[in-house]
Order: sequence, then structure tokens, then C-alpha cells
Amino acid sequence: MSERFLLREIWRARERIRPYIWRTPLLHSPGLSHQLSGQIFLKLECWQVCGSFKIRGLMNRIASLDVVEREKGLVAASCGNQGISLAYLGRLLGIPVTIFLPKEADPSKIAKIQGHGAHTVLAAESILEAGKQARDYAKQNDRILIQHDHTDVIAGHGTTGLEILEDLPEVDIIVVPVGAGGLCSGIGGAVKTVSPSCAIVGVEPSSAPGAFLSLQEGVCCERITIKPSLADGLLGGPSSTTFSLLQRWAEQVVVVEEEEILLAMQTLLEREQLLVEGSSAVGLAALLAGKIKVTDKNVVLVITGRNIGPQQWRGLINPSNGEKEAHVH
Amino acid sequence: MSTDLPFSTAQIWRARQRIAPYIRRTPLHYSAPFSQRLGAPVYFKMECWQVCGCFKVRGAVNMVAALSAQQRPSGLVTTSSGNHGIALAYASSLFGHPPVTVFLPQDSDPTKIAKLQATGARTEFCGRTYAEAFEQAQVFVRETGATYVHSHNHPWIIAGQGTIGLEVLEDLAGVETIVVPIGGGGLVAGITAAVKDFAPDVQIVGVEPAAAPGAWMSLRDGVAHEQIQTQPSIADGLLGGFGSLPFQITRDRLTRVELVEDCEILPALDFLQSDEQLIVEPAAAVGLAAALAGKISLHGRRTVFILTSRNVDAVKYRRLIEQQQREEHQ
Repeated sequence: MSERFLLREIWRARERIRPYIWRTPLLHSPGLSHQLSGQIFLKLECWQVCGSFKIRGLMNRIASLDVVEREKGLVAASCGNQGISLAYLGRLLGIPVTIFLPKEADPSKIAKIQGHGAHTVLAAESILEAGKQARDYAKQNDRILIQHDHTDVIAGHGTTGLEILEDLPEVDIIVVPVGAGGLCSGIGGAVKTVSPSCAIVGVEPSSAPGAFLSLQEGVCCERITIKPSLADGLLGGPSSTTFSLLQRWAEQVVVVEEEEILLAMQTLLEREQLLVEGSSAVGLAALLAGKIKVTDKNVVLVITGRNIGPQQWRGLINPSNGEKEAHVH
Repeated sequence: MSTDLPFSTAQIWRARQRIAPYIRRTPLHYSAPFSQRLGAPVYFKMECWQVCGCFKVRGAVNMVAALSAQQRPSGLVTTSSGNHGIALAYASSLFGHPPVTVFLPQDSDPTKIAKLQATGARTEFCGRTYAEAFEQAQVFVRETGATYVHSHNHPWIIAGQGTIGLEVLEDLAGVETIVVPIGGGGLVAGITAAVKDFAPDVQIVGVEPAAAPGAWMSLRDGVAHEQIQTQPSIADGLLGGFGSLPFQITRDRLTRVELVEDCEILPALDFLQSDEQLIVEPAAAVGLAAALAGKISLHGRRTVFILTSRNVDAVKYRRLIEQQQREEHQ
């Protein structure tokens, strides 16, 4: 997809999703700025409706469906945030939703999805298998499959980038957590066309370094080994679509370790009274570990969600427990 | 309302316009899990996501904005250990940085002092109580000509906090009950004034810690108890008497005031974390605490809880949650 095309789609998305989302604030952190010798800003998508940025892309995708398609119902695979946001929108708009989850998905997130009245299927061993089940089910039952790398989803996520440009036009670096890379692709699409000198840096947990390996190899590595992580929302890899967008827009993708993620979560709680999920903290983790140079730069960290599961939460309350559990799982 | 009251709702509308560029219009969040717990549609007004982490910035910005350009340079003074002082320092930074001096009792919480000093405000320690610090602040005002910015007992402060009431009405026209934490009473007075004009049937319920029942005593006795004996409480932002102006504004229009114990606040904090992934300071959770403890029955009414602030020390917060989880196990 061409740059101009995506940017136009992002502008359309912004208009479409406006009534359904919150325009989240960009928070300047004097404490972190002092500590890291750069100006650190936090884009607080953790305060978004349903607790994560996912609603942006999903709402935009639904807005592009016609009445007939909506009546068929929506199907998606998710281990958390995507499922919560889709279930919420389904109830709000009166569209039936079915979510396929891996068996070991966080019970509190499953409860939230069911709480919004969505149908859940818990039969897969992994998120990859859940994805396959969702695909098959959608095909057999003539439902609309919601895929995270659809242009409308990426464009919806990209509206986050427009808001960052509005609030801080002089931004030098935007640090974005990368799972499948949809958010990073969208933000890149919004920002790089308008402000080419701004660097987009992706961050992944070392437990699932799909984008890092793909960029290094120059080919999309879809089959990688995935280990448990505090950043459980990022345990995936890029698709061919998001890979080519990451290749075009991301300056680099860095990986962070579990203890670095935990430290970043604690830092956000202590400095800014922000309670976030592990996936949200990978950007700050990379900065605190000195993996991204930010001296004298205007840096935006996208804080993607607050849907912290009980395991991560225990880790935050009692750090020694959390580390043990993260490794054993 | 009696006409001699130095307050009118028009002041809230003026405040709204004055402060709009400097504050966040916070969302009203529908809480599915708390609606289920309490058997009524429950909404949270997210002032814990406000600039400076607390609603206090509304009143402080309104007051500093309303001062004349001649008044401001002489400086701003207050007595506060926490949110109001931080909010005042922010307000000062918006209007030419007049010096801010905050008078505190000698044994104030070190983390709050550090936070206050980080804003650039000057701190003066004197006496053991707020009353003593307040006396010293008045001496300072006489000597320097600085403006004293009261944390709750001033029409401009109340008008600023009242803008929350207008936003609640805008976002939920069918609101039936609003539950408001009470410390000095600035917030509850502002919201009452804003809401009762347009929606006289809306019930306003105040909640304060049993450790500092100033509003409760004032309504009982028909006279404002501005100075009261207080006990320690985890809701430390609410420890004080009830202001005379808030009393005048609310006395005939507050549905009632409930008192909560610390042990009732803990489950509310814990549920806010586990159900909604929200971190707030204990003072912000007193309303939910009263509802969860059955002290306020919602009767299926659409109810808004004002979550006032998230400024809680991380170590203290962890300790409170751990304490609650231990008690659950027993």
C-alpha cells in the first residue's frame, strides 16, 4: 500500500472513530525526562476506552462494513485486548461477536470478553492455532474475520500518530511496542509521511522477537519460538503486510528482557502513578536499559494498555514472586 | 439559595471558560463490573486522570486566572500538604510564574513534601497542626501582600471544582445520584451548586472518613465545624473540618453524608485495581467504599462516583493492596 493511500485512510479513520474513542492525553514526565536526559512524553492509550488502543483500529474496520456484512457477525482470534474491544463494540453496535482464545488465556480477560456478551471459544493450544480456528470458523459459517493487519485496522491505529503530531509537532522519536506490528505500522504511516525526520522505534520482548529477526534477516519470519512474557500482549510476530510497513518506517526494532520490563512497570507506577500491563512498558524498558539513545531528544512512548492480568499484577506488588512466575508459567 | 451568599452558579460557567485551555475534560467511564457489584448503572468521573493527577487543579487555575495582573506578582500562598499545593504551583506556571509559598506542619509526609518541592514551590514548616501553619501563612500574607489561595473556602475555588458537575450533566443527562468525597467541602459545594440548578432531583451524597467527620457534624448541628479533632486515616487528603462557605452552599441541598472506616476503603481500592485496572489514592475511593459496604444503597439509580485523584505513593499503595489481600485470605 502506498504512503499517500495509507495517510488518506488514517484521516478518514479519525473522522469515523471519533465518537467512539477518547482523544487520549500526551503527558510530559519531568521525572523521567530528568532521569533520561531527554524530554519524555507518554501517549496514554492505557486510558483509552476498553483500556487499550485496539478500539481505534477495530472501530475503523467495523465502520467500513456494510449492513449485510455486520449482520453476518464478526470473528477474531485474541488473547486479550483485541477481544475485549471487539466484544465491547459488538454489544454497542448490536453485532454478534465470536472470539477464539488459546486455552491458557488470562481468565480475567476472558471474563471481560464474556461480560460484553461475546461468544468465546477456548480450544486452541496457542494464539496461532486460535487464529487458524477463527479463520476456518469464519469461512464455514460465512462470518466476517477481523484480522489485525487489515488496512482499516492499521489506519485506525494510525490515528494515534496524528494525535501525537498535533500535541508535539517537534517530536524526534516515537517508541512503539510491537506484537504483530499493526500499531507501529499505523503510527509510521501517519507520522513518517508528514515528518520524515521523526524516528519510529519498535520494541519487543526477547520472548517473541519476530519483528527484530525479520528486519535483521530481511524476510518476514512468521514461525518463531515464543516464550511466556510479562508482555503477553506482544507474543506474536509480523505478517507479510506489517513486515513490509515496518521495513519501510521503523528505524530499528530493539528487544528487552523480562527484568527490564518489570523495572519499567514499577517506574511508571512510582513516577507517574500509572498502572499498566507489561506490553505497555517495553518502550520505557528499552530506554531505562540504555538501548535507545534519547539524549536531548523529544521522545514519545506509546503506553498501549492497562489491562494488567493477575500474574503481572502480583509481580508488580511483590517483584520476586513475579519473576519466578513469569519464568515458570 | 439565600441571595446574600457570596457565590452564584454563573461563577461556575465563567470558571469553565477560563480553565478550559489548561485542564483536561476528563471522561465519564461506565463501569460494567461495578454496575454488577452494586446492582445499578455505575459511572466514574475520571478526575484521577486530570492534569497534576487530581481535580484540585480546576479550582487553583480558576483562582489564579481570576486574579488581576497587579495581584499576581506579589505571590501566592497556601496551606496544603499535597494535591492543592501541587495544583497551585501548576496554576502559577501558567500565569507568569508568581512565587508560590506553601506552609506546612513540621511532621508532614516526606514524599508529599518532595513532590511539592519538585514543582518549584517554596515550603515553610511551622507548628504541628494545619491551624498553626495557617496562622503563619496569614502573617506572611500581611507582610508580603501575597494572595492566600484557600484550598476550599473561596468562591473561585468552589466555582472551579463545580465545572465537574457541568461535565457530568453533559455526559449523562439522566444521572440520578452523584457520590462525592468530602474533605474541606470545595468539591461537593461546587458540584452541588452546578447540578442542582439544572437537575434539582439529582441526589448528592457526600462521603468522608470517620476519622474526620466535619461535614457530617456540620449537617447534624446546623453549623459549620471548620476546626475539628481528626484521627489518622489512609484517606489523608480528606482530614479536616468543613468550610463555612461549602456549608452555606450545601446545607439544604446535600441528600446526606456517610462516614467510612479505613478497613472499608481497602476493598474499594483492591476492586478498582482488579476490575478496572485503575489506581487511585485512598481518598478517591471513599464513595465506592461506602457503596460496597452497603452504607449507600443505589436502588438501581444511575450513579456517578467522582474518582478524585491518583496521587498515591507507590510504596504506600502496594502496602495497602497487600494488606487487603492478606485479610481476604484469612
